[in-house]
Amino acid sequence: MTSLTPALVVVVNNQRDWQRVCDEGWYRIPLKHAPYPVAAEYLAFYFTRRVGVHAWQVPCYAPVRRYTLLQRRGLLPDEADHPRADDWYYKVELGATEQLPTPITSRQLRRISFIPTTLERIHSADDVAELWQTDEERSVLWQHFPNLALKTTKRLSIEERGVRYQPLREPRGLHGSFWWG
Amino acid sequence: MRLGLPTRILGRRGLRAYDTRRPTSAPHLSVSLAHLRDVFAYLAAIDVTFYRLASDLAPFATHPELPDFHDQLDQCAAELDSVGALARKQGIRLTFHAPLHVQLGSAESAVAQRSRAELELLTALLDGMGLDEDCVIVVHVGGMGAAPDSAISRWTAAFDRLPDTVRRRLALEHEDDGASLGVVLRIHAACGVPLVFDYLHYRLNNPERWSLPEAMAVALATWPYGRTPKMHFSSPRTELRAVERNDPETGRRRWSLTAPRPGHHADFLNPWEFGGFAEAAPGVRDFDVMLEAKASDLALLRLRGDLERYMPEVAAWIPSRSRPSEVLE
Repeated sequence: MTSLTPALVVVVNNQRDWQRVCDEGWYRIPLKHAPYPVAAEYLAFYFTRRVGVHAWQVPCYAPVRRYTLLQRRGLLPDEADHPRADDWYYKVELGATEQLPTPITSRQLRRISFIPTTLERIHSADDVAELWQTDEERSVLWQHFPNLALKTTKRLSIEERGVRYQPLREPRGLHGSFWWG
Repeated sequence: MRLGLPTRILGRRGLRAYDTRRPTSAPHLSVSLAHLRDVFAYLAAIDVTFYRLASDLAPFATHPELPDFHDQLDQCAAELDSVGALARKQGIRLTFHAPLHVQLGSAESAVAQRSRAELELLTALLDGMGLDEDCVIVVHVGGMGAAPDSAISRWTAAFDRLPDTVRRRLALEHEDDGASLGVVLRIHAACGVPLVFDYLHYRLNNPERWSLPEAMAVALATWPYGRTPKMHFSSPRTELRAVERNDPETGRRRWSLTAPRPGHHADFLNPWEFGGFAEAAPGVRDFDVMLEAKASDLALLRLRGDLERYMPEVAAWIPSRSRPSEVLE
């Protein structure tokens, strides 16, 4: 589990937001509507039709540099009179964007705002629907955690005080059977 | 009695305790704090109000060869304040366990200096979050060697030289092989630092031959009234463990299984052993228990469920708004 790299797919639904990502290197997430989990090492971008290119696709991603909490008036000083000027936002500062070899397409054209996922899944997904995580790994972990040690013994020898013992050839259908000495 | 969990989260995929990236990827305290907000949401969901922060929360912030990382706290003052406000709102007690290289009692001045810098950083993080004095930094004596009296003198002298803000945050834990509870009690007598009782360390290193109720009473008495004492509990591992070593015959790395060493933490917790520990407490004052199990939050949830089932009289001492143990049934 720990080898997976947390990533967050975020929606880009206008040219101006995308320009900020490209030119100024940041994206904003309203604290009030932040996804769970919000923290990620990468942001990937899901474009709607209004961006003009790559509609309903995830074409690229960028590494996260910082999360800064700011009120909207500080984040967008040109819009200081906005009705949500006092709302708090995460300003997510980003490194350079990287293109995916093949953009991930949303074949069902579903309306999304955020998808907590992993960088590994971004690199392997064919469809945006595959980016959603289920909680299945948690239940698998829970069911099997106590037995993980035994289940890994199939190809390992056992050592005790410098003496190595060989595992008994495993009978079909049984796991973790050993003889000592 | 609150039950706490140490740092890593296994029960909710995608949650990290801090920004774990390497220096080349420019990890940052602000990212760690965003992770921490997610962890707080999970703690609320499982009804946990006691959590050990990762000591790497501000990555490489004291690393002598990485000065670019040294000003993260100044850059994150607002985020620290905001996360601290969230912790206070949820009633979460946050603590640190100082890294192993923190050894105030070390005879090497470089180690002692680095230790001081590390403790000042952890203190600044807790202060920056606006947390009260129950949010402590647990340290070991370290550097005992063959001359414990010298180590004790060095430790107390180093403690006295620390800024008052740091001293108020420290709590001293006895060790499984080194400073026993009797030794750290001498340090407490010299400088007043409160003591963290560790159940497994007590079992492994009790030359004073104190009974469990005596030892717990001694540690509890070192905490000033108005502050909540903290204890550690873990069960000893009894199963085989997988280790990776160099094969002397081939020179290649290989995995093998070996018996656990004394002092290894088990994945989960023995509820009857925990019940005995809880019942041995003198009962004169409340305390919190950090559960040091490798399965972290899963072990806490399992223990709560086991106590409800097998030792309801002990489970009744643990405040719970809900029955989150059912989450994992």
